[in-house]
Amino acid sequence: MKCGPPKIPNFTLVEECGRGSVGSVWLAVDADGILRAVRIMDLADPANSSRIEAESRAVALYRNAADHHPNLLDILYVGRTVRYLYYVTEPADNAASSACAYRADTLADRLERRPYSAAETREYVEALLNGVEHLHKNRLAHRDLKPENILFIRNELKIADPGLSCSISRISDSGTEEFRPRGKAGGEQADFYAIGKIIYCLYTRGNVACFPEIPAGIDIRSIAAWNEIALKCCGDGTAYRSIAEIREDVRKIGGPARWRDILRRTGQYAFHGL
Amino acid sequence: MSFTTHPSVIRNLGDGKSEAWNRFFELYAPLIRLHGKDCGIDDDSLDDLVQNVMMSVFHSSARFEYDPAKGRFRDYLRFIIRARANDMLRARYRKVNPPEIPVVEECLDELYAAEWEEHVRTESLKKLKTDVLARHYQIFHMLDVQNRNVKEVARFFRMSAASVYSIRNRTELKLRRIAEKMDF
Repeated sequence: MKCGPPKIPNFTLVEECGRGSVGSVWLAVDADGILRAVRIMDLADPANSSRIEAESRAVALYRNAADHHPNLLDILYVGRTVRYLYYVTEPADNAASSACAYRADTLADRLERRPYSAAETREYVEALLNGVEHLHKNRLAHRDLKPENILFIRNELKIADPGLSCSISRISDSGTEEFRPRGKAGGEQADFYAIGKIIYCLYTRGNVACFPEIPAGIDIRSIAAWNEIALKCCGDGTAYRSIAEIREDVRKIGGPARWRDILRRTGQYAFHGL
Repeated sequence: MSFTTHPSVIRNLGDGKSEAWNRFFELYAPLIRLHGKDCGIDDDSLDDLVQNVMMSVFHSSARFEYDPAKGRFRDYLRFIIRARANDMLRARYRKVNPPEIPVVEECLDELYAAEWEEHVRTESLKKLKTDVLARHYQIFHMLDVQNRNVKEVARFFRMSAASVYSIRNRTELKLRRIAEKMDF
């Protein structure tokens, strides 16, 4: 028997645009005609009940910590019906070429389909660090950082899918296999490790499963500094103690470009003949 | 799950440990598929062949004991793959007329030997990746697999060429030891 879309009060579900291990994400229109994304988990499925409860707790922690940070996805509303637990967010930008179709604009999508410059790589990493740092300052670890969970809304990077978020001090082995350290790790270390893997994906445009291989044909001179950061993040967990330390290394990479930016802003660009 | 070497995977099969079975599947399914194709099994039936081979090994596994003195595991596995593939082909051609294809056993043996070698190479590299530091693996990969220039690699890691050589040699030795363990 074919089931229709779930029934969520005040929302008309338009199209399923994603599916996770315990739920699905739908594009939906609210009573005012505004497009939203709704993540829906089916409470009737006994196999998932404990995971849904855990996710519900994680979302509550994340909502308290996120506090409208520009690089963290805002959760606008959390609701529950007899059958479903759901939360409502802004939808990601549409990455599909046709307006009739919808494909969420995620970092995974950009890695696969869109060319991006070295400056954009830097911007992505800095935005990612900003978001994660905000969570860490609130004693929360994301624990499931990966390109699929990084969205772009109005072209601004937002960390999404906080379903595994937990206290920074909690030691566990949760997360997506390719993006979590082997064995159990603290939340902060797990996030550092995932950041290292995301950086690797960005500068190699490669598949995370190939880590740490550098794809053939890449000009290695241009990626040495990024590679160093990725290796430190994915090492034994002692190289970095905070996001600020990672950011410091990232800043060193973009020195000349920043200098040009400052000169441009202060009107000395022409003077220096740059 | 820690990476288990092949002989211990085979030993654990006899204990009926599901982890060992998963590992066995993960390790050998690609090889079984590849050689099954050589034997004439079509793409749609390759999964069935994997299941049948697994079942054959499993069938004898309640008292399964791998005894290296009786022969190499690679030959045992080749025998099982070939036997199950033949069973499947016989069952199929009972229903339709068999095509006239001369079976050249030696040719199949040669193919299997090459496939086994590739299997050992791939799996050894996978294990090496988990056993050594990522930086050391990168050095080895850039020099030995990608044939990059040692000076270029040394500059990339801000190391001396001598250090790069030393890391490469140590990593290569480790790879050789892993491969020796896997080729049994």
